[in-house]
Amino acid sequence: MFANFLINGAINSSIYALIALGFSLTFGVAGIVNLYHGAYYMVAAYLVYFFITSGIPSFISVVLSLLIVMVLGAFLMKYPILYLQKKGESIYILIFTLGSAYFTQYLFKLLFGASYYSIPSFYDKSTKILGEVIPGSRLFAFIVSVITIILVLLFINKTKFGKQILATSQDKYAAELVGVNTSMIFVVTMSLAALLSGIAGIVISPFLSISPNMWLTTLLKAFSIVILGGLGSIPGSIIAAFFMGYLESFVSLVWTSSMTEVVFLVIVFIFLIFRPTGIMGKKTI
Amino acid sequence: MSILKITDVVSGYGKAIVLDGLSLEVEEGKCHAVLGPNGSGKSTLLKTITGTLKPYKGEIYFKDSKITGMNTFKISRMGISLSPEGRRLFPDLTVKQNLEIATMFTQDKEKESKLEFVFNIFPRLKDRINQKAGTMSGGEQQMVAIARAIMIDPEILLLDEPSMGLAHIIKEQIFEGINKIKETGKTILIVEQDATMVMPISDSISILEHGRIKWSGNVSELENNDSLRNSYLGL
Ligand SMILES: Nc1ncnc2c1ncn2[C@@H]1O[C@H](COP(=O)(O)OP(=O)(O)O)[C@@H](O)[C@H]1O
Ligand SMILES: [Mg+2]
Repeated sequence: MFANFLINGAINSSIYALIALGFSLTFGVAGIVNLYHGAYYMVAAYLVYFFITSGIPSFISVVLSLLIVMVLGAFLMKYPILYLQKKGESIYILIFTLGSAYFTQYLFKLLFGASYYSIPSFYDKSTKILGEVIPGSRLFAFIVSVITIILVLLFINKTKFGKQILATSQDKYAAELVGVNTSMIFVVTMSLAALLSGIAGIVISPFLSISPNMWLTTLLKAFSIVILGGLGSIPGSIIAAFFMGYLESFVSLVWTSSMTEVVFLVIVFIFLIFRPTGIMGKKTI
Repeated sequence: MSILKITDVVSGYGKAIVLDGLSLEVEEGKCHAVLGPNGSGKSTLLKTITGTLKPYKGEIYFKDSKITGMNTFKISRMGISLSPEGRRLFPDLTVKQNLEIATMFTQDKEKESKLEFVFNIFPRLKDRINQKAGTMSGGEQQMVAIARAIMIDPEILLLDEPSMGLAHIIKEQIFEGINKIKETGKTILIVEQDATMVMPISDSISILEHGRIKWSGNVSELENNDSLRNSYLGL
C-alpha cells in the first residue's frame, strides 16, 4: 500500500513537473499566462494516435507530432500573441489562448468524435519495485519526464541560448540592451513549452485516455502547480509538482481519485490567501 | 568626424511629445555631455537613440548608417551601448554573469581581457565577482551597469545619469572610472544633472531644456560664460 503510494506519487509528480515546467517558463520569460498550454498536450496525443493508426511507425509518429506542436507553439507566439502583447492588454492574450484551446477541442471532436482513445504502450515490460508491479508504460512516462526535465534545466543553465532565456526572464529591456533578440527568445520559449507539454501528452496516452477535453484538467493542474510554486519559478514549479503529485496519490489512497482536483483548488486558494508569492517566494526562473 | 548624428528628432510617449526637434552630433573619440534638469528629456533622448522609442520625425545616423526606428538589440549589436537609467542589472545573476552575458555577441576570445579591463576601471568589482547583482549597493550596481555596457565593446558608450542618487564620494569613484574609459579613446555620450562632476571629463557640452538644445559648445566656453552657467546650471 505504502510502496504503491510512493511509486505512483513519483510517477504522477514527474509528469506534472514536465507539464508545469513549460507553463512556468512561458510566464517567467514572456510574462504570458498561456491558457493554450494544456492544448499542446492534447494535440500531441491526438496526432500520435492518428499517425500510429495510419500505420506510421511509432517512433516517427512521435517525432512528427512533437515537431508539429513545436511549430504550432512558435507560430502562436510569433504572430497572434506578440501582436496582442504589443497592444498592451494581457486580458486579450488570456481570451485568445482560451478561445484557441476551445476551438481545438471542438475541432478534434469534429474530426475524431467524442470517444476515448488510447495508443499502444511504447514499453510494455512491467517491473517490480518495492514489491509493487509497475506497468512498463508508467515507468516509461516517469523516465522520459525526468530525463526531459534534466535536459531542459541543462539547456537553460549551460547553453548560450539558455542564458539568453534567463536574461530575458530577469529583465527584458536589459536583455535587449546587451543584444538579445527577445522576440525570438519568446518564440523559442513557447516552442519549448509546447514540446514539453506535448511529450507529457504522448507518454500518458498509453495509460490515460485521449479525449477532446483532456486539455482543461491538464491546464488547471499546471496552473495550480505554478501558483503554488511561485509564478514563473522553475525550481518552485518542480517542488510544487511533487507536492501535488503526492497529494493526489494520498487523496486517492485515503479518499477517492475523483476528489483530487477539488483538493488541488482548495490548496491553491489557501496559498493565494496566505502566501500569494508561492513556495519560492519571488519571481525568478 | 561625427560618429552619431541626430537631426530634428521628435520623440515621446504616445501623444506626449518630449523631444521637440532635437539635433545633436557626437564626435568620434570625444566625450560629449548633455546637461539638463529633471524631466528635460535626457533619458528620452537615450531611449530614442537606442531604439526603445521610435521617433515620430527626424533621423538618427550612426557612422554611415541610418538607425532610425531599428530594434534595440540590433542597435546594440552595431556598437551602441547604454548604461540605462535605473541601472537595470540582471538581479539574480552574479556580477560575473551580468558581465559575461554582454559578451554573447562579441568574440569569445576577448572575454578575459575585457574582464581585466573593467576590473581595472572599477577595482571594487573584482572582489564582488560572485555576488548577486541585486544585493549590491547603488554605487556598486552603477559600476556593474557601466562595466556591462563596456563589455559589449561598443563604438559609442551612452551613460544615463551615472551620478543619480549616489553619495559624493561614490560619484567621484564612478567618474574616475568614466575618465579612465575616456582615456582609452572611447566615444562617450553622457547625460547628467550634476554639472560639477561632468564638466571636468567632457570635451563638449549641450544644455537641454524642455526637449530642446538651448546651447552647445566647448567646456571652456561654458566655464567662461557666467550668465549661461547661472541661468541653466545654477552654478
Ligand atoms: N514612460 C513614460 N510615459 C510618459 N511620459 C514619460 C515617460 N517617461 C518619461 N516621461 C515624461 O517625459 C519627460 C522627460 O522625461 P525624461 O526623459 O525621463 O527626463 P530626464 O531623464 O531628463 O529626467 C518628463 O516630462 C516625463 O514625465
Ligand atoms: Mg532620466
